[in-house]
Amino acid sequence: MSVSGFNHWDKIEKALDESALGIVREGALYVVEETRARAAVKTGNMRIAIYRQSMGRSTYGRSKPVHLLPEIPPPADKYTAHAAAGADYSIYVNNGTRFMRAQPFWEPGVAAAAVRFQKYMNGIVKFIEEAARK
Amino acid sequence: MTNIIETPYVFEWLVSTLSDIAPGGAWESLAPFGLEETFITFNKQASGDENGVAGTRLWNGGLYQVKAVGLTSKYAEIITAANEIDDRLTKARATTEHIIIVHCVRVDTVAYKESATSGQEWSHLGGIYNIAAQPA
Repeated sequence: MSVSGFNHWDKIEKALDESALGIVREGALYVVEETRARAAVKTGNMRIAIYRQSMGRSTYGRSKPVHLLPEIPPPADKYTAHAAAGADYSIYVNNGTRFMRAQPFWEPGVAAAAVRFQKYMNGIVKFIEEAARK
Repeated sequence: MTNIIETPYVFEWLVSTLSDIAPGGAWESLAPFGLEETFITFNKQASGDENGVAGTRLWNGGLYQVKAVGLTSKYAEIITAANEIDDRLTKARATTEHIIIVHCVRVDTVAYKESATSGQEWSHLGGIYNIAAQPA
């Protein structure tokens, strides 16, 4: 009597790795989309200056925004991604100044991205389960 | 009253809790124009309701920016005020006429400077606090 195909760990591991990379990319994209959607617009520069980075990839300065902060250091591994507001005056809009009310877009955007992220994560569990059955 | 918008009452609680920390007082969003003393300002950055079964609202959880603002030349005073804000708000629980502060937890810090057109530099120092409130 023998049992074959019992251990599916190699398939699960591969699916987990693919899923993790997807999570990283999608998570950063969600933050960019949701913060851009809430950013105050006068010229549109601050909005287009919001960017994301993953290992070897960056949208920093892609749409030629001005008043840019230096690009943040790239992530050290492929399981990390960053999203950032590139315009040097973003903090004054988001957090306010001595004479100007805050017009928050970062925290509400991140909160909305977290909701989308959770939905995406729920789908990952199903994806891994299906991979293990193949 | 069981159904209320908690935010203005959180603002009231913040004013009563923080107004004696800095010489310029505590203000929602903006301090009066011309005030040059160190003051405290706060505003809501983001918000979300926490709901239980059958749509029962448990509390409103908001991210509130609370910071000391003042001339950079008085930065030591700003630091002292920001520390006092943090000391009073961290893990604060309170009941007012209208709301119960269920929890208050700092989730981030805020620190930046700005140059006014007058040539003066202003500093902002404080934190982002997750404050959960429900009707009393």
